[in-house]
Amino acid sequence: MLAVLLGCLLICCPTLAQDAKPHFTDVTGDMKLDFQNYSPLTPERHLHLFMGSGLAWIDHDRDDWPDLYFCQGAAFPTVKTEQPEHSDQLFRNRNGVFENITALAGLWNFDYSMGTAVGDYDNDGFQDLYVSSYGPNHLYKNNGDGTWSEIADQPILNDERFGASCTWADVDADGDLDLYVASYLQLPPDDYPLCSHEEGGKRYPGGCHPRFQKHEYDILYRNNGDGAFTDISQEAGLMSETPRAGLGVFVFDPDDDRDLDFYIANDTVHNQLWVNSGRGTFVDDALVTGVAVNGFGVAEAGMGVNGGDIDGDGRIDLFVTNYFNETNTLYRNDGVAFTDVTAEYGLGAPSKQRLGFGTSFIDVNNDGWLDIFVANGHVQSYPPELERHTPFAQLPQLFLNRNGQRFEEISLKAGSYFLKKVVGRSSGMADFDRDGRSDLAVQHLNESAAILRNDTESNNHSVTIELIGTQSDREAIGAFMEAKLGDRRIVRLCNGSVSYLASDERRTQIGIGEQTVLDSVTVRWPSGLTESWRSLGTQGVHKLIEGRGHAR
Amino acid sequence: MQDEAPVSEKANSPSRTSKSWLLAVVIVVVSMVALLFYVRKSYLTPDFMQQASSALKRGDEAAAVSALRSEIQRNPDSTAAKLRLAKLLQDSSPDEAIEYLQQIPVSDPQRSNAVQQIAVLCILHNKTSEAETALLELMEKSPGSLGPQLSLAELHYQNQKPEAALPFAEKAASIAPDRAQTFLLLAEIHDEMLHPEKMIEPLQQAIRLEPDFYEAHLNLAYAYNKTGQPAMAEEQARWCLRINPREVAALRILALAARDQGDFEAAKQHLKTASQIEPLNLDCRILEADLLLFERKPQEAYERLRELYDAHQQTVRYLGALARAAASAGKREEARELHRRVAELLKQAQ
Repeated sequence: MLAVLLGCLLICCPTLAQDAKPHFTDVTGDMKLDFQNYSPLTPERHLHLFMGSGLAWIDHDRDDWPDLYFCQGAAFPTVKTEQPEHSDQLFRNRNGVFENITALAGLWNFDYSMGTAVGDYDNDGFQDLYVSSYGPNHLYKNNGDGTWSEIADQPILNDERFGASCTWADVDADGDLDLYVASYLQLPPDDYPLCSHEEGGKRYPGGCHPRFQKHEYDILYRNNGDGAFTDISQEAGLMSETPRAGLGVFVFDPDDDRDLDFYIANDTVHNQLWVNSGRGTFVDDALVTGVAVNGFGVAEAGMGVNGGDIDGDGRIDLFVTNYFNETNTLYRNDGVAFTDVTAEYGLGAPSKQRLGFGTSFIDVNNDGWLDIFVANGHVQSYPPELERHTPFAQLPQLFLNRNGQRFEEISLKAGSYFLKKVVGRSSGMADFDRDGRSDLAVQHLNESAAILRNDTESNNHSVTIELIGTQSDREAIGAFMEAKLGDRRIVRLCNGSVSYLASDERRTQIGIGEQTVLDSVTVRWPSGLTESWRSLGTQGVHKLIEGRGHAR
Repeated sequence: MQDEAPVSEKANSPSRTSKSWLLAVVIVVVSMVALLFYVRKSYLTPDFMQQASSALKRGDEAAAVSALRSEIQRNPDSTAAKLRLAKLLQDSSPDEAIEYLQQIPVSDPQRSNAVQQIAVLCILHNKTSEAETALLELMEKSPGSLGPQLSLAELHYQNQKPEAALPFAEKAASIAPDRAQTFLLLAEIHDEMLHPEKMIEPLQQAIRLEPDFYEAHLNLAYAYNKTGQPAMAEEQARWCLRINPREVAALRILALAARDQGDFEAAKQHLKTASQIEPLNLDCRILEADLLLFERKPQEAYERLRELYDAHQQTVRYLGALARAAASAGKREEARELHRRVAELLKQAQ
């Protein structure tokens, strides 16, 4: 009788199985993934050296295993070096084991690398890579044969503004990927602003407050379709406002008008929501829409940004990581505007004494609800005796989404990685071992990176989807997926870049609880086409090709 | 040559005798002149200090002031006159009072007294820079003295210079570690510097020294709330409400703590109680609107805020909250206009 009752409950409520205890294991050593971030701090505490570098999950060889690209820092003033460990690194993933193939791939980059944008800009089936820098940015084309080439004949792509997060997105719906690059501060090497802070009666060198430094305009490049790009920042309207200190970027369609917009997390000044007119011109609507500042009307730091349907209402919400003594901010998408619901969702208090950078939306227990990981670490280091109030190294955090109603911090129960203080920076998500559970890679400032394998034990399953555009860009960045599981609707986005300076694996994993089949998935492609697929099982990956589903 | 007369005979010679008389006359005349001058001085050059005292006894401050001014004119180095005159002028003419006090030389034993008065007058009359100078002088003279350190801390704090206030407050706390008020001041300075995490230790110390120090408990509730410790904030807020059930600030902190812990009904109840005590409290009303927005009731949030428009149309945080509610309620143009006014007010404030 009890079994019957339980069975009925499970049929009615497919996501009931939330009792799985999320657990991550740091398998960096096991994976032989020996990447150490190199960003030696100067006595003067030059600001950019505290910012850290990004990472990207990228299937470099199309073997269906996500490989991992780590951006690397550099010494300042710049020292010409060819030490391999001081370059960006590419690790190929073969059946869940990593191998450093930087030399094989020819992907040497000794600049201070920052953000990554993974996208097949030439639609040849191989993911390419754009890397922003403190210094010249770089576009790397995947040759498809295991090697890479830097695109050197388009100097506008090597812009020397201080580039931060960047993302590919088809803003003019012409089927190829355009490129948005958030740009941070003006910190010229020969006229670098230096500051100091008073603490305990003494002055200590430290990064200058970003609000009072000169900011840079972001950049939007149109992909001309012939391998060339045009800087359309001005005509697109990005210069219609004063420049901001851009750090995070997220591409989505908040106004549901079938074109792609950009949300920019700016450091200590108003965030921006560049709303696409549909013709590739943009207007900043952040203030009225409610995402420029927090619920108190205060502009916050704004480092990492991610988006996803947190509350199951079918709309993409936004989450931004902020500074110490600020909370991270969760903006709930209410259709007409966004509402700051950080405190109500239990994300306020736990983040006040943290400084957040990377943030990943990850369904850790495959119950269909997006959970949140945050990498924390300060940007100011003091002598140990002064650290007790503002620690440099901080504990990372994991928040479990309770049925879309509230988040519960479960960090201290989620594995030993969460018990160790680190100077966390970028984070990115992928199912690197193809076990149906999403994993994480995390960069730390001047420390080894970490691979966190999701070892959550449960009876829950996931469905893995890869979108392949034909009219849309091949990567289908910005495509909106609506999955049906019984009475439940689960929404996912095919993301561009996310988090802080990072790119997740382009595949989408949808947790379906103890069910074994997803009833249907409806995809709204960037091209405007909407079509569905039915009965998607948990085995393998479902490659949904634009034009081959059931048109809606 | 005949022998000289004996000394006695010499002394008694007629020429010597006339010289003695002349000398005596001279002495008498000089004495009489001196006496005459003395008498003239006594009767014809008045004792201004005495006059001032007499005037004060009969309540004639103006006459006392006049007498003291005269005394100073006659005797520019008269410390006593300057001190007394400064005291009389401190309300009616503080600038002049300060001027007189500043004239007392550094070497004068009354200098410290004078500088103390300068400090007090400057503080009372918002002469921050002069007050600071005076207090620094006192501090230099007595580095271990609590008064100047504390006054400097207070001075800078009141003038929105918490970074300048902090070292003096810390020194004051070390000089008098059993003075609870100093630790409260320290906490307030840290708050002003946007370091709520540094408020907690001094407030805990203040309470250890004076367990019933109400303001310390209330500030500690605030600090715990600001640092993401809702359970601790709740404990302190409840303590305050046991003493003063009408403490709206504590009720608001309880509401914030309840919200942080997911108990929205409790949060609303605390706000309801607060609004019964202070119906027009802005911060409580904004929090109430936030909860309504969370509950997807934007029109209600908008209306609750709109009620306060007349009283707060120049208040930035009110306009910002109203703008957010307006936008959520679909009133985008109104929201845009409100945001524009916020920007204007912020620009004016710079």
